[in-house]
Amino acid sequence: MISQESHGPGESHGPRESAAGPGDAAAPVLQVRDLRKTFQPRGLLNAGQPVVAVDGVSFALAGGSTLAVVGESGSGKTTLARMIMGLEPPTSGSVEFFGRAQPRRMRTRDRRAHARVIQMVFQNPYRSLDPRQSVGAAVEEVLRHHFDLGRQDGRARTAELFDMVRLAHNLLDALPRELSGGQRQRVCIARALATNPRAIVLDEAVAALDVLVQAQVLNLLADVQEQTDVSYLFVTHDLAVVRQIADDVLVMKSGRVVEHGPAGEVLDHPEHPYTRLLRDSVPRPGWKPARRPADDSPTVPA
Amino acid sequence: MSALVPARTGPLRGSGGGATVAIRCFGAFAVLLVLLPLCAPLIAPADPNAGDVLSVLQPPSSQHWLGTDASGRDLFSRLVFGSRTALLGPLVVVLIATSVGTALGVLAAWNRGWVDSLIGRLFDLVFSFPSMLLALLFVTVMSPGLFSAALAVSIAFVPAIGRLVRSTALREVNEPYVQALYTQGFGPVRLCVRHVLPNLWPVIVAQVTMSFGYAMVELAGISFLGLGVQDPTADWGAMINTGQGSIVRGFPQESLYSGIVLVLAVVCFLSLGDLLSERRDGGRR
Repeated sequence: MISQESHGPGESHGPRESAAGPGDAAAPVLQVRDLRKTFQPRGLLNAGQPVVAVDGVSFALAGGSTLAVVGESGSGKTTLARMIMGLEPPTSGSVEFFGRAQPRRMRTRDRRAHARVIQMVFQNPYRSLDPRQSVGAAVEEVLRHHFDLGRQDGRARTAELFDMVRLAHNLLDALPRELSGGQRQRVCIARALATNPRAIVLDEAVAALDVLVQAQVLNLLADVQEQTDVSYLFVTHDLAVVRQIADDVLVMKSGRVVEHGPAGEVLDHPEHPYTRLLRDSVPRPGWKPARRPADDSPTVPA
Repeated sequence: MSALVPARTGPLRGSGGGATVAIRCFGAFAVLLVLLPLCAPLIAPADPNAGDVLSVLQPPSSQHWLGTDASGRDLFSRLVFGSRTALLGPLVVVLIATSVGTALGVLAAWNRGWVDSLIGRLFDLVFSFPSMLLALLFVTVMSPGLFSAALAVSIAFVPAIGRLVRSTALREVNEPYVQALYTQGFGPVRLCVRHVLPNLWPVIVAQVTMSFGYAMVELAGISFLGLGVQDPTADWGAMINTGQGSIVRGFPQESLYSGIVLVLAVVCFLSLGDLLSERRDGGRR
């Protein structure tokens, strides 16, 4: 077991000083203000209109809550997640953690502090782990990068994280290719939890898994949230998943927020026609697509 | 001289079993070739540089297994000792070219933008110079010898390795696992050295093996022109050159034997590199 001095996510929930430095404890974990991202298509003469991927998105993520960002492919939800993670510099707007703005270009020191506040689980569990590193070593590397842990403590803490995501200890030395998709995604969740973050961005994190494994991982995420009070930003196109896990939902279309509100309300009484369209395209018992009127065209005004 | 081409992307092998046997065979031969210069004094029956004017251009005999050259030196001993420069040269080339090429390739792939463009143009510049021309330049500025020849060939080989590493690293850097490590706050140097490079290793090893073979040909060519290894030091390339004079006198042995061992060694390294790159392509994920 690990000594009390080391900061493991298991021991220190509740109020803790923000790793990002002096922050306002009352402020939301994550506050996004008027975030914009445009891509300039590269041509010989730099011709072409800039593509607006994310257009003036604002929202707040409260501690211990789950916000789902939904939208079809190309709606800008992944670009939004990448900007929050510092993988893409925003064109304008700001990303704040505990009221403290994230620098536009992050140095290694900034990224390290950032990693202590927010983590990400990627869509493809087959490619988000170093194929040459055992999964236990992958988690331990992150732990020892962020916390002053010896080899012994590192191993012990890794094993605890494996318990947390319900992975057997005999998988600690396995290579990623020896694991199933669901197991790998659990490793990715354990690795994300290793820095003791206050929020985790899950970018289509269950989309590549089959329905049964999906449900297991979602339950696991709910349990982890209960234990650690971590917030989730759940990027998905699957409204069934949203209903199961999200407190709030943010509907994106062409880079803009078209609807934002409590998940139950938005899903049961969608105000925007696009949300209705998204909702109606979820297969469910009794769903008969043929019954839809012929003039219900899928193109919806923004 | 053959152009330096990046390791060929071979067809996907079904099981890879046949390839593994071939890799072992060529690998064993390569190990023998590496042991030869190390154990040269134990193997060679005579001093490779001790001439004997009374026994010039001797046919093979029990005393001189492969005969003697125009200065009466034991050909077999010269071939054995010649392996030293023949292998040391490519080793230097591969060490310099691979380390510089890999560093530049990863640097370009990681930073992209103007760093990538600059390194790309640099590669173009060096690539547009034939390595033989570069060697001539170096030999003129410095002095004829193995080291200046090897240095010239090293520089000429950097672009091929650098470009291969850059394109492979570019693919690797965009993998989610690298981005995951990036968001976990790891510095770029640590990330590249600990995670990206080990995943490029199979590509680099295949390319290194091939480059070794090509470097051997290039250096032999330079020595053949008299710009590389200088007489009396035994070297396969230089021996092809010095043996030329004896061919018309009815003694083709010196050029012939050194040519044969050179071809065998080059074929071995090129095939090994080819097989390794095939296995790498077939076995990737």
